[in-house]
Amino acid sequence: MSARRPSFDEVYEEHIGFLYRSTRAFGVEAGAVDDVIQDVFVVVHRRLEEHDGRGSLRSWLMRILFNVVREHRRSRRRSGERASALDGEMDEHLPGSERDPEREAALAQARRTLLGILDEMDDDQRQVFVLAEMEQMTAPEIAEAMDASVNTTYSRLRLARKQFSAAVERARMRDEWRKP
Amino acid sequence: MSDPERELLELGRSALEPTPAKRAALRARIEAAVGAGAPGPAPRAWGRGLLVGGAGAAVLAGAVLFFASSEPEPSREPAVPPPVTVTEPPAAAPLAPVATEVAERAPAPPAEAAPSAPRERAPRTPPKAEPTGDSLAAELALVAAARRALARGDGEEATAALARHAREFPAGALTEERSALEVLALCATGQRARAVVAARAFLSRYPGSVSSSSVRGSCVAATLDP
Repeated sequence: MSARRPSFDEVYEEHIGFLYRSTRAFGVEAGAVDDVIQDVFVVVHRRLEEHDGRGSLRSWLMRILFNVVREHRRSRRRSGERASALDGEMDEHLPGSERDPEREAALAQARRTLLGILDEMDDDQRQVFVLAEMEQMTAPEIAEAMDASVNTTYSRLRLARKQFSAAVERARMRDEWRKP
Repeated sequence: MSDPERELLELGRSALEPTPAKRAALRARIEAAVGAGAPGPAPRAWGRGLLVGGAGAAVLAGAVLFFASSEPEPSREPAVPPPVTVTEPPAAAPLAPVATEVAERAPAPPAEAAPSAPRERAPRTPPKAEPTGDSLAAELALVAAARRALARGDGEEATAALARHAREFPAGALTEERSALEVLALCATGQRARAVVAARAFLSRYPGSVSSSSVRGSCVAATLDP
């Protein structure tokens, strides 16, 4: 059904943003994202020819990312390190905000709040939520990436949305409370 | 979904975007890793041109900064597979050994158990046959040091790291990246007139650079032509 297979370069250019954001949103700490992304693209480079163009390329990339992140966590555990999505977050550069300090502050706060909320979710719910709500992937695409049924995917998404709403509400109340 | 929820997601998504500098550095790193004799399709397609960044890359990098939903998704497939392929085995089945493969390639040495502060590490798979792998790692370290210095507002230290890069790698793989950061460093040290000159030189030399948005957005913004 599908047309020509994209080149490695095209895959990088079109999907680096998607993979980078997802890696951070899945809770990989800022200082390790580069390693994870490198590993993903090394695998993509080796296996791109195996992608037959039938399934979604994003689902295929996401499966690779899931594997690499899992391996990253395993090696962290082996070495006794504990890491959270917020590690190194303060030092992380913000994109495109040099002109506007107000926007920079808003971006920084949004990133901290969002990562904090996602950090509280369990892995499956967080993955579904990020891919559906941040990356606008369809439920069948997500199901394919996660090796789950579409029904399971929808039910995880429902639970994650509920948790997200409650957490945003709590964050808002906390910020109201803090205001002078 | 309520407005505050939507807003948090949109802003958070923008904030998780890799910066143009990050994209360029990652490209260089990945190029070094896959060019190091890794079996795979056509490494030539992933060659020298990468660091320069085509116009398409610049457009993409610029477009995704604030308008999250405008990122092109040309490879998106229809959600439902066509009937003829329903009975096929899942396309991603061969992926199972991926994690093992990565683990074998890059075992985590215990010595690497570093503090959780952000690290800019050299590529884990430096090309053994090509000396450029080591020099690329050294280049990346200098450029990353300059970027970190700029992030905390230390223009002097950024300038020092960039000067060292210019001295040691006058025609290095990250020259474009260095030139962009030099503009930001000049801004950070209050040398606006020199920054304008450097910015103009940068934009004319690298018209399609992924870093052009950060150069245009710096202290020279008001002076440059749109």
